[in-house]
Amino acid sequence: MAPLEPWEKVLVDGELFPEEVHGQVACADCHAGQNTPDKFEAHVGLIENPSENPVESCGECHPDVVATHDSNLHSNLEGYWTVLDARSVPEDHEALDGMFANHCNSCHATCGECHVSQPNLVGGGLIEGHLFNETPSMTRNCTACHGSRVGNEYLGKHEDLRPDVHFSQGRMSCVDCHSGHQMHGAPDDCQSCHTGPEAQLAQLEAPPDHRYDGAQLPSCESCHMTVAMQDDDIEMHQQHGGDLSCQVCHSVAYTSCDGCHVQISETTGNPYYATDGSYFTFIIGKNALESYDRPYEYVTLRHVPVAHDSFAYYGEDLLKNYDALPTWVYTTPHNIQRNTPQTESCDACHGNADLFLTADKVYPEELQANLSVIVNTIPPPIAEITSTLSISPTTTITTTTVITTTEESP
Amino acid sequence: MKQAKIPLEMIGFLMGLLLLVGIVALAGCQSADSDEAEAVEAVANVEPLLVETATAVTPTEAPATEPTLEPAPVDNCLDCHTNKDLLIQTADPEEEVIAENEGEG
Repeated sequence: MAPLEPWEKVLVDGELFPEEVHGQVACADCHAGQNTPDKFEAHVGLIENPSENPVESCGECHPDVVATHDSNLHSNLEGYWTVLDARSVPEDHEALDGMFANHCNSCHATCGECHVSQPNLVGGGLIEGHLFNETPSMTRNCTACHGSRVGNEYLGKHEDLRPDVHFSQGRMSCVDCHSGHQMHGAPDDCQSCHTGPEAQLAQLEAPPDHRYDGAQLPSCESCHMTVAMQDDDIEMHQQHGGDLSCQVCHSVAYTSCDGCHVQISETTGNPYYATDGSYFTFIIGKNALESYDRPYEYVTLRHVPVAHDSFAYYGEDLLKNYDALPTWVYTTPHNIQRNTPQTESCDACHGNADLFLTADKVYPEELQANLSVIVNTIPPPIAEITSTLSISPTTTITTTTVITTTEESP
Repeated sequence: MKQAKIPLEMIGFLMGLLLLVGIVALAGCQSADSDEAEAVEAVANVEPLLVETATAVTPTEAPATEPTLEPAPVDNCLDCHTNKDLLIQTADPEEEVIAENEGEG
């Protein structure tokens, strides 16, 4: 995405914008400022991004959306706090608040940063001459922020890696799976989005505590219904429909990162981060979030860039409960392919230790944190299984008990 | 003093002339009333649409006074922000931000 010139960022479409419904509202009603031809005077008191206050700017006409603003993850960034809370103790939250304000809060997105302009995180600027887009642009809004992993993987921007089949073949945009309703959140309770029997039970105890809590939204099976109904002739679906997440077979290499550290620059005073490294991985591990809706034994794992001393600039040992969560986390890469190295044969995975998260692949200081996802015993080669059972490999596949849940066939 | 004597024949002639003029005048008035009645009847018989059309242009709808044109409010915001050339001319140079981030974020 090429950066916009300064004038491009503020150029209003003089023909179309006055004709649309938002063009009927005087500029100053939202942006304040002064109605004078002098540039400097005109910008006195200017509100650049009116939807920083969505109740006043958007709420009059869109009360239903604004009502969900406080629970909108794009606004409250609650996902960050889910993991920060888990890895820290309350006494350190004040220091983490400061860190969060300097480094994490820039990811906060307002109504306008999805529907009018590019996010400030990538320099801002009007997208279509101040026209309001009901559906955000995939590349100029969604992957502008969700770019280094989701965007690059989905769009195939990594060398030698194909784009996700839903993009290359289906030309699907983010909103084809992730609805506006999901983007905007729910007004009162977490369970409106985190549905499913366990989430409903949890309502009595505690709110959902991770992104994969509750029903899969979206789920692969909602489109690939033959897989869900076990109504196709793909033996691997029959064999592994319930114990492998779809991505275990249909994903390819994706980005993992190590050791993010944040601090304030001594020279410029600006906040900045540095990561120790990013690299491609395809790693299968145990499912630490096993549930009714995600019953899989194995899932794909991605290393997140947290380290014991990620926030050391803000205080000593701020992640006292570092081991409370894995650093290799359940992930759903957006680079789905029908055919992958894993689908070539049974032994592409069986007996192939390279694909599994074994203890030797985990940093010693992270071993404790990852005990729940480390694979201790690699699934044996098929020949070994069949010799034990004294039956042929073909028989093994075709006669194995049908698995109870679902798998996909992109 | 001896008065001039008008002959009776002359008086008769004048009276007849006056009577004739009066009849002609009355006949003229009667003819005009009749035309007007016919015109009213004709208007009453036309299609309603035509009646409305005729009503729409009645002089009573004309402005009583000279129209006063209110000047359109000047929106300096739009005047500038829809003018690409002006924006280019007046754009402040963007400060170059030296990115100190390292690695993928």
